[in-house]
Amino acid sequence: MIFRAIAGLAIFWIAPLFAVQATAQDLIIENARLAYADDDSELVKISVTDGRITDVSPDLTAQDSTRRVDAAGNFVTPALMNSMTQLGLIELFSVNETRDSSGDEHDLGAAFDVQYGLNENSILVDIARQEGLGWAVTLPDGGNGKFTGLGAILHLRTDGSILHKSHAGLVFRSGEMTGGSRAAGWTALHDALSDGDAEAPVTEVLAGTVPLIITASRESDIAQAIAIREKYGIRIILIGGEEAWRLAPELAAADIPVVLVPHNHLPSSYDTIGVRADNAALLHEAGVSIAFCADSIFVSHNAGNAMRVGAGIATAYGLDRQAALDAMTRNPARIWGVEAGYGAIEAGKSADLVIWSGDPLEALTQPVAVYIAGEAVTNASRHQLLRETYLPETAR
Amino acid sequence: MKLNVLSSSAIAVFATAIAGCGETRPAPTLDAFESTYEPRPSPPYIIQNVTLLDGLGGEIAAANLLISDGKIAEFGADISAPEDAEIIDGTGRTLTPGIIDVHTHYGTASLPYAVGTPDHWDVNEASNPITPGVRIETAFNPQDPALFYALSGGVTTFQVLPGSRNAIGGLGVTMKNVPGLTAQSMKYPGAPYGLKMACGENPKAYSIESRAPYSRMGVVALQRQAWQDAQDYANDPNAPQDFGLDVLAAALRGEVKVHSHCYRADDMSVMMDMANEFGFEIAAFHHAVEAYKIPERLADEKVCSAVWSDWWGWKLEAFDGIPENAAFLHASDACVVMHSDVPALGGRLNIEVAKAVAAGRNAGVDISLPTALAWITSEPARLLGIEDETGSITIGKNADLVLWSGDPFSVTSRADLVFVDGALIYDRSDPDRQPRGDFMTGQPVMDPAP
Repeated sequence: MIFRAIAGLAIFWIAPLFAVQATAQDLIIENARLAYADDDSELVKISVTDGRITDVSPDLTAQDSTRRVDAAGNFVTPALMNSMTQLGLIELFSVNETRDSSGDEHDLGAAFDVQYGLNENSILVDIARQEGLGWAVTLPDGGNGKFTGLGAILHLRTDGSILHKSHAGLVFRSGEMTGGSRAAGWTALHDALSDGDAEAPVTEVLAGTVPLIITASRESDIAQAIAIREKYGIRIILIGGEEAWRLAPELAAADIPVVLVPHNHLPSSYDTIGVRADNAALLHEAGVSIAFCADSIFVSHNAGNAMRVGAGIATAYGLDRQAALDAMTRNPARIWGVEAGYGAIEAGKSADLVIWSGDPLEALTQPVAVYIAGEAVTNASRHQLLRETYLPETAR
Repeated sequence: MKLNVLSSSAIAVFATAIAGCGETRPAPTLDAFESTYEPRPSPPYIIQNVTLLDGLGGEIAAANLLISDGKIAEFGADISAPEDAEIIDGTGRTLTPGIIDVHTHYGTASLPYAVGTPDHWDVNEASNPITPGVRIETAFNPQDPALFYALSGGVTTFQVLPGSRNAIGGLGVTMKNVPGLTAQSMKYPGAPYGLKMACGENPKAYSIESRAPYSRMGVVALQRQAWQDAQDYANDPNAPQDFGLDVLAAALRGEVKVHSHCYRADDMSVMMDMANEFGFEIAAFHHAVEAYKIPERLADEKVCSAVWSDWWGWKLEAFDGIPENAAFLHASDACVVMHSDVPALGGRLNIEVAKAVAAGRNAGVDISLPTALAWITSEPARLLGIEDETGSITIGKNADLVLWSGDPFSVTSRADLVFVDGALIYDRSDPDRQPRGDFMTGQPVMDPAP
């Protein structure tokens, strides 16, 4: 990893709040305010051993043998999870040589598997960590009306491979097309799921070991996704869902979680003309499990910050702030099946933690410190090195 | 940037004198498609007990502000309201100038986007890489839904620019964000035109269609030739009228604001040299993701940078974008403006400012929020040449104002009321004052409005 080689340069950037001992295995974060505990609730001490949280308690007795970090009453949350990125698959959108996110040119369909193209040294990963992202789902993109392949779950740890789980889901893209009809896509999906001799990833979906990820925005496509769930009894995760609020009770009843862009309020495509800024709030109120991601230029390049600020914006449209935070931690942990090791600050979970400078949903807030699997994330990223090079005299 | 004032004004006088003899082309003018904008009638309003951010760095707690005859009549702690004034309680809320967005494609890249057809797209006149004679106002669709989302985010004034496909892309237009049926009815009266230029990857994308320019070299050569042609044209009153050269000649006279889409520091440097060579002023580089590398030169040349908070990496020339760009420019006394370019940011420029300020603080550049508010109010007003009329809370200026539900830099705040020329154009609590446009009529979005 790039940041290992240049870690020395990062000293300049370490916030004065704490001292980093990069080799320490154990950690205690003191005076942590859990988000969103009541304002008058006690601060806690989070103990970490071998990369896992071992204790969360109000006991402030210091332990000499461990690295101690004073959170100074700041909010601490689990490192965030973004449920739809192309992290590790794209560096520059416009440079095809750096894109490995689509199998369209290879006619692999459902068999396209992003794990084989994953670039663990992507500079985007360093930046995502610094923005407080600890987990991400990385998915194939490609044309609508077909399977585009298998996604993966990334745990952005600094002490090993970031590939946590391949075959995280098989993606089927529905929705608007520039030629042909979306009806043909749904027909093809029914054919594939009904085929007694289905290809391997489809058999995994039918067996229930891999969820079917359906991208859908318009109400009619979301209704088709619900029908697929009812007919085949398979697990479905919906991505997009701009008009999902129109079918919120049905989605809740069908137990279909929705991954959405929390701040999306624009009719940016014909499929999303029915989008509402309170989509997330309406889905949450109806009992749908929601998880968040970012969109457009931000999908992977600002995968932490854009999603986090977007979640904050959703609270201006009625979403409870705890629900907004859960949609980046607890909910995706459950949706993607990693809740045994991630999603809450409690004993037994991976020590994926962020100390924030303020309310974690505010644009003015920044991470003060990020830990992934108990390791402090250094501040050395390409962004940070550029900013050091060009820091104005007045700020030196 | 040094404008060759003497020679260009001498040329103008000469050309006018000759034209007056009736032997040559008429005196150059860009006047066409005249504004028919009329301020909406409005009662006097008094906003009471509000936190007031003036857009110039100032903050007044528990202020009162009187709107009268569409202008900011008075503000401060003690103001007596006329009896007929409507009283608005500002307790817990914040009043700012209306937001001004210098870079949009509203009405020309109309929502929804549809890539399979040119129906929604009037952004680039891609018949030729040099098209100074085209005017974006002749393509403007006032039913673009994006306009109304921008209004609900506090945008009272915006500039529409041609796209960046062309090396010289044509005239932009500055507009008031009031619902209208025509471009003319929204056109900001008296605002100078902007001329769009572009550096780098977008204009050289003609090469994809096997057409020139194929490289940055070709882009710059075409631009220099165009400016040379404009000088020759200005010097030759007998040359037949050419609308495109009229525009460039007006830019040489300083009557048109030049806005250049540029990302890389080296591209911007070449462009500034070109401006000095031919004697035109660049008002701003737009996007300018590498402006932080050359803040001193930008400050010396008095060129603004109109930037996003944190976009980077979608193309090679944006690879070095960092979120500290705006803060670093500000710290070096270079002009900064936050722009949107896309509707997703256009309704949330206040949050763009918050993100940029946060990145600056993280790097040790502490800029106060009232100061940074200038990036989306008074500074863009200056950039558009309308600073005497709008962009700050100053007595006598147009009452272009936003009353926010709380701190405008918090994600939890919304624009409650938006005034343009003293008229209440948007009211978050009143569906009758939430224009949506005809495109969205009957579409499957139920109330409340966004």
